[in-house]
Amino acid sequence: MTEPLAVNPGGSLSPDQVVGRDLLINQLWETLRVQSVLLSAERRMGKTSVIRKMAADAEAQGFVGVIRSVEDCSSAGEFVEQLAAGLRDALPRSHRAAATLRSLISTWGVEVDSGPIRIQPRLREDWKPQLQRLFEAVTDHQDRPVVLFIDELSMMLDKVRVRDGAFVARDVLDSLRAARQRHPSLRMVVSGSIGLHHVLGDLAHPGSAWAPVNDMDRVELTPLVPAEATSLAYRLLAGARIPCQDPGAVATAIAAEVDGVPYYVHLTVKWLRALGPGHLVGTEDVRRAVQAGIEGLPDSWNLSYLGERIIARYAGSATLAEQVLDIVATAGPGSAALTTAEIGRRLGSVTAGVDETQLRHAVELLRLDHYLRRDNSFQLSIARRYWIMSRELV
Amino acid sequence: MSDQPPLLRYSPGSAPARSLEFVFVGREHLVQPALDSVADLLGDHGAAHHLFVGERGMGKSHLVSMIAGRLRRRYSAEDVRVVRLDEDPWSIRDYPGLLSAIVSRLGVAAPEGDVRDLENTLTDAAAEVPVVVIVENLGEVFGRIGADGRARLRAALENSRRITLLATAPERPVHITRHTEPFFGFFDVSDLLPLEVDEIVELVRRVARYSGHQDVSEFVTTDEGRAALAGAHGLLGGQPRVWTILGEISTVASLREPAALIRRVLDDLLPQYQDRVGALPPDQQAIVLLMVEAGGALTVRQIAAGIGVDQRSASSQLRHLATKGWVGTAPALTVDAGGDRRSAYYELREPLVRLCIQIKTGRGVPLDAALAYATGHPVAAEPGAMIESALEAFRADRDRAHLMVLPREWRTVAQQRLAEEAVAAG
Ligand SMILES: Nc1ncnc2c1ncn2[C@@H]1O[C@H](COP(=O)(O)OP(=O)(O)OP(=O)(O)O)[C@@H](O)[C@H]1O
Ligand SMILES: [Mg+2]
Repeated sequence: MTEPLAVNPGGSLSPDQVVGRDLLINQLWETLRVQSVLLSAERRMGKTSVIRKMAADAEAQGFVGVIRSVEDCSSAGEFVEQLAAGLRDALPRSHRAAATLRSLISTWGVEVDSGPIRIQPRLREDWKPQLQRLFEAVTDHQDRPVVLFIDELSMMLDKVRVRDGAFVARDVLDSLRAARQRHPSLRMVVSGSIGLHHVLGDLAHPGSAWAPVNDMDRVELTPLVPAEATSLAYRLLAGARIPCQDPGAVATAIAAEVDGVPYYVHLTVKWLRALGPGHLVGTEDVRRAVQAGIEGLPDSWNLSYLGERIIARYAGSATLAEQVLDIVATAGPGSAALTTAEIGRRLGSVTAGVDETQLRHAVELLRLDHYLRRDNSFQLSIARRYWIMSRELV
Repeated sequence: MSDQPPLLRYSPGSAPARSLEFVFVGREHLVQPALDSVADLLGDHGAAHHLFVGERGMGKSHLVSMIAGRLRRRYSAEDVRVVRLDEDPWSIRDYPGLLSAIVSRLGVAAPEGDVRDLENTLTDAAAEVPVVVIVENLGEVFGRIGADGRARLRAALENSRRITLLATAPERPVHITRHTEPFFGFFDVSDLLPLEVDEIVELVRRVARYSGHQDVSEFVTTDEGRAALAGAHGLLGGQPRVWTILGEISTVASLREPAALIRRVLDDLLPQYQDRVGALPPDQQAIVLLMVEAGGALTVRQIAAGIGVDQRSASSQLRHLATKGWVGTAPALTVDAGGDRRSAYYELREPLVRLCIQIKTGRGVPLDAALAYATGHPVAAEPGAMIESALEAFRADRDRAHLMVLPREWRTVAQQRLAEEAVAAG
């Protein structure tokens, strides 16, 4: 595929604009035949784009797919309404569950065939049985299985927690889990921009073994593989009509410089476009573009969150986490990754009395938040470069 | 064309499309991507949302008016609906208020009921015909609709994908830069940069013609006229509104002796800048004043030392100033230079800030000297003593620090001199 593509950093892509991800998507469909999926990634990595591409292909894969971003729901009742409307619109009339679903909806006292679903307040307050009936309705048949792509679940849970209390938010998660276990023909792909681990942390009783998502396969969305990122860059360059000395080389350079992150591919091409039609772009321009994205003012790639999130969310582990990143960032890109023990040793020379458990905890947080890989190297070289620059580590 | 309506420099939203097109300079490259996005929206190829950032007077309203005008000419109301909200969002008090404002401009009856009904009304309308919403002062609007409103709005946009936002803001709103915000990284952000000299010549030429001053519009394209504008540019910077004012009030005679003209423009703008500096937190005010005094570009280290804070907090304040459009990275030198290569240099983006503060405080390079230099010595003429001594120091050790202390427009002159010398030396 070399069709030109419009630069769109950050907007909502249609399935045909989502480049690559094919291998991953195939694997996800394989998984979905047996299990639900929890899709996590750094913000803007392309989670929504992936599930949108999957949802568009659900029928061909033998599923009924419903996709919904639920960050507009502030209550569990609204969540039920949104799911019901999505399911109603997605289920073909010929599907065995369609009629059952319709008769359920009619008990809520609303227009059955189209339009928004607003459950009567009394039933809405009592959302849990309605949610159960909804799942029963759509799974009670021998027809195609249903897969719900629920985007921004963590954002919704956070709102529910604030509005109705942590126990209601916990209840939603528990109900979803119960439904997954009860109905073999129901699957979910859950995703969200705030890491679910942060929200679970806010919801769980300290020390409890509550694990409402551990039945799902956790998949971490990583950047595009080099060939995909190169193809994205190539198509965006063509779409933006950017004159290049050697388009293939420029596209390859873009993919490499941004570690294959599609969002940064878009941003890089946008920067190159601003050089104007009179400038013949070469690979040196690509390096300048990425450098400007990381170091330039104003912070156009918005990387300052790398520091801010640690301060905002890491509480007592913040300073330690910063020091860990300092050590990893300056270990040298070529040198072998550092073991946690080695980081501890090097920390020892910085701060006295580093507690082993605290260190492991900090490293674990940094992994969950996509700073570090399992081998303790930076997941993105862009993040590493930003860290070095902002902490003045040179 | 002297019977034309005035250019309405302060509210282009209500100016006639023809006059807007006529004096539209230096922003064309921002129009096409927005039009392309709307074409994609119509073809069901996703929705891109644009945000144009520029301080007051940079031409944001002019730009979105132009885009709206072209969309209306290109498409019928059956293809796409273009909705423009009021520039001042005072009437939008909350999220339902925002939705009602959009829905009522679509000519759809606002539903009885709550937010969800409003959202459905909007997304149903968009399902029929895609909608482009023009929102000015995005940060203000996002503040007013609250955290819940922002989350709901993003969900509505993501679920529908039939609505495109074309927004403007004087600075990058925190709602798009903060990682925990729903709209983090969601907009395609473009900065409206100051106009360059060529663009200014073109703008003044058009405005003068539009205002019926044929002689001025011809004069500015001569070498003499161009040099006069280039000199004034060194002082006034590249804000389109400034040059629209100047284009309207100048005569050939006043352009030949522009000091008085420049003072008139500055007087017109002074209150606006006083308010803006006054609204900054103390540390940021201190940085701005330091930069005014320095005249040229500074490193973080120099700034930290200058205002007496540590480098980390200096650099964080600097970032705030950059987000608000006050400060930018100084462009790299065009001559070979050594010195401390690792540290970046920062400078005020708008020389106007410098001038207006100088008028108030009398600090920095004296205004009269600056005026005389800019207006009496156009770019090609003899540089002043400051440039001379900077050049001398630079020739001795080729440390770029010597050039960076010069105000940007003088730095350009110095670089030109060095380049010429290099050529002469073979
Ligand atoms: N596969 C892809 N092909 C082309 N562009 C992509 C792809 N994936 C992501 N992008 C780019 O990245 C941007 C963000 O993608 P997306 O909205 O899917 O991210 P996300 O992970 O859901 O973000 P958030 O966590 O903020 O919800 C898109 O607007 C687009 O510019
Ligand atoms: Mg998303």
